[in-house]
Amino acid sequence: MDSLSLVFKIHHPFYLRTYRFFDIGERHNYYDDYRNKYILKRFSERSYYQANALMMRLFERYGEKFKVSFVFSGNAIDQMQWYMPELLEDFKRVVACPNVELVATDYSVSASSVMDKEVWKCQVESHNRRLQEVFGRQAKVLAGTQLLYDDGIGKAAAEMGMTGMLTEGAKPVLGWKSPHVVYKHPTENLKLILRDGVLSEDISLRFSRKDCGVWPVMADSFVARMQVGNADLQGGSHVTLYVNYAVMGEFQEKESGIFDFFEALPDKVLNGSGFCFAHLEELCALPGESPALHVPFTISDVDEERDLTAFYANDLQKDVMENWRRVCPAMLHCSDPELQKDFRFLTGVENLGFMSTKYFTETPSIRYLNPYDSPYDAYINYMNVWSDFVGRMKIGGWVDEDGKPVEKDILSDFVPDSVRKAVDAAAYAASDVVDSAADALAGAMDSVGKAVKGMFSRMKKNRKAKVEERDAGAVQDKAGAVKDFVTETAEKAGQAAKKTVRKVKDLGQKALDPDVDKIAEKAANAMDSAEKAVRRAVRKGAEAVLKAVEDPQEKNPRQKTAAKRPGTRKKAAIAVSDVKSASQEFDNPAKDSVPASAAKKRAARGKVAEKAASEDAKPVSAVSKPASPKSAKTDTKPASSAKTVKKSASNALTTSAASESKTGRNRKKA
Amino acid sequence: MRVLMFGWEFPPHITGGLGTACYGMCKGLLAQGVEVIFVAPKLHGDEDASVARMVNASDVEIDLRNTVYKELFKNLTYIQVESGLIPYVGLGQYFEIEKLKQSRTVFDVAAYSRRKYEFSGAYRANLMEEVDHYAMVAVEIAMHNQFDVIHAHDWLTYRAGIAAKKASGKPLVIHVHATEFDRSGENVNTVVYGIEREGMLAADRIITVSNYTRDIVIKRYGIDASKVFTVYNAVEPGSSAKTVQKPKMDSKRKIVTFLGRVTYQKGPEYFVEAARLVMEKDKNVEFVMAGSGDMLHKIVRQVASLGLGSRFHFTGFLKGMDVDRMYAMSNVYVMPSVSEPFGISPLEAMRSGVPVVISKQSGVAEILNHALKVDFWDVDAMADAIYGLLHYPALSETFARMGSVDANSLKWSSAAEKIKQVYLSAIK
Repeated sequence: MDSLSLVFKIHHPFYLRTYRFFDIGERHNYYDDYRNKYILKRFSERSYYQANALMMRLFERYGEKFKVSFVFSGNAIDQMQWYMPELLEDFKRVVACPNVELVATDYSVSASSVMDKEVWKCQVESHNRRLQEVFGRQAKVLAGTQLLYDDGIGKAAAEMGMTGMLTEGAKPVLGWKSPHVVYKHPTENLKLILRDGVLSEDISLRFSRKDCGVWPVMADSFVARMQVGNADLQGGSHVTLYVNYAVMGEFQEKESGIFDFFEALPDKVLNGSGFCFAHLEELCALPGESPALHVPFTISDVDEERDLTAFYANDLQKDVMENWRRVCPAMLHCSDPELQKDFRFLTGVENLGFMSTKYFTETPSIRYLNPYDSPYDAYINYMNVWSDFVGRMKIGGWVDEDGKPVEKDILSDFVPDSVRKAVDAAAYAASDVVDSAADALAGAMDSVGKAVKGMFSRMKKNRKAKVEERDAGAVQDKAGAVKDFVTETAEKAGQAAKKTVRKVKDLGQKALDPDVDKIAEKAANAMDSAEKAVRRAVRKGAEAVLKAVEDPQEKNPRQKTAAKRPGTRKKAAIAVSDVKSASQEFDNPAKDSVPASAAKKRAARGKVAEKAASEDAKPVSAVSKPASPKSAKTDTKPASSAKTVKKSASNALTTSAASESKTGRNRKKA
Repeated sequence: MRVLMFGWEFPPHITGGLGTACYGMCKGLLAQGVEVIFVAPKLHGDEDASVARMVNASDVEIDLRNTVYKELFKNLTYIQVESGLIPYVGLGQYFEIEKLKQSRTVFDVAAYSRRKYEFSGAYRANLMEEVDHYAMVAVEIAMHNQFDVIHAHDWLTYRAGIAAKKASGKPLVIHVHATEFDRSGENVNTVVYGIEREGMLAADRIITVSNYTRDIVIKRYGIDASKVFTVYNAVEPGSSAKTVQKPKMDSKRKIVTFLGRVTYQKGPEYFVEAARLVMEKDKNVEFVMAGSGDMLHKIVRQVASLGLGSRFHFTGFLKGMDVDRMYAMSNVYVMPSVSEPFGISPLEAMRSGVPVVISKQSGVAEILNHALKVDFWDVDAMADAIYGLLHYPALSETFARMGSVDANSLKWSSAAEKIKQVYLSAIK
C-alpha cells in the first residue's frame, strides 16, 4: 500500500538585536527579545493554536489512521518555554497522542552538519535529550537543517544510532530515480526518505499563487497528483511532504483555505485513494532491501538548485563558516553552559541566509522576516556579535589570542574542585600504571631476549650441542619478532589507557549534562572500564611474554637442554611462572588465593580496585626485575593512589551531583 | 539629432560634479549619434572639444535692442534687486553686494546694447546677474544655430533654456542635478526655488538623477509626475586611480576619508561624530576630511573640542592626482550627505577599490549593492559600518572586488541612451 507522510517543521531562530561594535566586550545580550517574542506570538495566534486544534480534531475523527510527524527545533522549544509556556503545553497535548511521531534535528537548525561532524552529533544528541525532557520521547529518524544531507552526514547519523534520515528528493542526485522509494546509505545501516519537493512546495509556496498553474490546490486534486506520481511504482511507495507547520495560517493566510485543505486531506487520502498515512520510523522499518543512494555532494531543500548556495557561497558566508569551524574544537570541550547556549544559537543557519547575495534576494524560506537592509548589514552585525563571543571564549581560556582552541585543563571552574582533582589524579594514576606496565614489558622482553641470546651464544660455543647456524638464525628472528610484538602490545596498551583517561575526562566534562544525577554512576563506570582496559592490555602483553618465553623452549628442545647454566635457567623459570600466575590472577581477580608472592601481599590488603591496579603493574615487573626494590616501590605508588583516587572521585561526584541539581533548581527559578 | 546644451562649467575647470557629469554625458550622447552644442558661460580653451561643439557664451554678441530681450530685461532688473540673497553669503559680503545693488538699480540700456558680456563662470555675488545675462546669450545662440532639442543643466541655466525655447520653439528638457532643498535643507532661498520651479513648469521633460530627487521634484515643486524621468549618473571609465601607487604605510594604520565640500549638505559633522565613536574603540584609525567649504571652521572647532585633533586631519581642497592618492591611501570612504541627489564621489572611491559607507539620503544608494547604507543622522550605525569595514577582512575584500564592478556597470553610454529616449519623447 502506498503511504503518505506529513512532516511539519516548527522552528524559530533567535534573531539578533542591532549589536554595535561598541557593545563588543561590554554587553553579551545578543538577541532581539522583543522581535523573537513578537514573532512567536504572532505565529501562535495566526497559526499554531488553530493548527493544533485542527490536529486534535483529525486525531479524534480518524483515530490512529491519521498520522503526522513533527520536527521541533531546540530553539523553538526554548522560545516557547521562555516566552509562551502555555503554547508549549498545547503542543505537549498534541504530541502526547499516539498519532504523532517526533523527528530529530540539530538543536538550533545550525550549519554544523557541514561544519564539524562531532559538533553536529553533540547538537543532535542534546536535541534528543531536550525532546525526552519536554515530550518524554526520543526520535530515531533525523531531519537535518534544511534537509542538508550527503554521504558523510549520513554516516555520522548512522554512528549516532539513527535508523533513517529525511532529505530532499533533489534532482541532481536522483536523476531519473523516483523520490517515492525508501533508499539507504551505500555503506551504513541508514534508510533515506526523500521529500517530494514539488508537492511540498505546492503547499508551502504555491498554495495561494494564482499564476502557478496548480491553483487552486484542493485536497482531491492533490491526492490525484500523488497517485499519478506513484503510478509506475506498483504500490509500496511513499510520498513525504515536509512543510513548515506555520504554513497553516502564517505563510499561507487562513483566508487562502489552507486549514480547510488540511482538514479535507485525510478524508481524501483514506477513502479510496490507495494511500494510508505513515510515520517515518515505520517507513524505515519496512522489510525488504532498499536501493542504495549515493549523495557525493551536499543537498538541501532550498531554492531551485537544492544545494548549499543560499548559505555558503559568497565570501561573507565563507568567512563566517570559517570562524565557526575554528571554534568548533574548543566547543567540544567547553563546559561553560552560557557559551554552549550562545554557540548553538549563533550557528543557526539563518544567520548565513541573511548574508546571501544570491541574485541579491533572500531564499524563499527566509525572505520573510529578514531584519536586515542588506547582506552586508547582516554580516557586520553578526561579526560584531561573533567578536564578542570569541572574546568571551578567550576570557574563559577556551581559545588563545589567535582564536585557536586551547588544550585546556578539561574540567573548568564549573566543576567542583574536588571532582577535578579526583579525575586528575585518576588520570595520572592510570597513565602511571600504564607507563610502568609498558616499561616493565619492554624491560622483560629485553631480558628475555638477552637470556635467549646468551643461551644461544653459549650453545654455539658448546661444540657438543652441534647447533647449526641456520637454526640459530631462525631462533634469533623469532625472538626479535616476539620482541616487536610485545613492544607493540605495550604501545597499544598505553594508547588504550590514554583513551580511557580521555573518556574519564569527557565524562567529567559532561557534568554539565542535564542528567546530573547519572554522572557519578557514569564516572564510576568509566573508571571501571579504564581499569578493565588497562588490565586487558597488560594481560595481552603478559600472554605475549609467556608465549615468547615458552615458544623457544618448545620449538628448540635442544636449546632448552643446552641452557644448563643454573642462573639463566632459574631466571627464565621464575619469569615463566610469574607470568603464568599473573595471567591466572587476571582471570580470577576476585580470588584472594593468588600465587605470586608480591601480588599476594598487596592483594591481601583487600579492595578490588587496588588489587587490579597493582596486578596491572605487577607481573611484568616480576619478569623483568624480580629483585629490584625500586620497581616494587614504583608499583605500589600507582596502586595506592588509584585506590584513593577512586574513592575520592566517587565521593566528589556525589557531592557535585548534589550541588549540580541544586544549581539546576536555582536556574529554573531564575 | 542635435541638442543645444546649456551648462555652467566643463572639465578641466570645475567646482563640482556638474562639469564632470556634462562631459561624460556629451561623450555618451555622441556615441548614440546625438550631436551636442555645449554652451558654457566661460570656456578656457583647453576643454575637450572632441565630444561637443563648444560655444563660449562670453564670445557671443548680444543685441539688447532685439525685442525678445524686453521680457528678459524685466527679469534682470527684478533679479538685480534680489541678487544679494544667494546661498552661503556671509554678512560682510552681503553689505558689499547691497552697495553694488544700489549703484545699479537703474539700468543703462545703451551701455548693455551690442556688447559682449564677460562671464566669470563662477559662483559669485553677481551670480543672479550672470544667470540672466546667460539667458540673453542663449537667445542669440538659439537663433543662429540648428538643433532639435534644448537641454539645460541645473537652475543656473534654466532661464537660458527657457529663453532658448521661446526664441526657437524647440522642446526644453531640464536636468535636475540638485534642488534647493539639497543645498539648503528646509530654509530654501525662495529666489532660487522660484527659478527652479519656473524651469520645471516650462520644461517639456525633466530628467532627475535619482528617484530620491524625482520625489522632491514631484512633491516639493508640485510637478506632474508623468514628465519626470530618472536617469542615473555614471562615471567615466579608465580613471588614473589604478596608476597611483599605494603609499607605504604602517599596516595597522587605517584611514577613513571624507571627500567633498564641507557644507551643510554633505553632513561633515556626522562624520566627526562617527569618528569619535570609532576612535574610542580603535586606536589605529585616522580620519581625513578632504575639502573646504563654509562649515570648515565649525568642523575644526568641533574636532578640537572633542579632542580628536591628533588623529583627525584636514587636507583642504584636493584636485587631480591628489584625489587619486587620497583614495589609494584610504581604507574606507564615507559620504554622510544629508541630502544628495546623486553623489558621484562614492563611485570614484569604489572604482579605486575603496569600500564605501553612504547615506541613505542619496540617489546613489538606490543603485549600489556593494555599499553600506546608513541614515545620515544615525552616527551609531555609521560608526558601526566603518568599524565593520576596518575589522572584518571578508567584507572589505568583497567590497574592494565587487565595488569596482558595481561602479563600472554605470556607464554614460547607457545613461545617454536613456537621455536620448527622453529627447525623443519630448520632440514628439
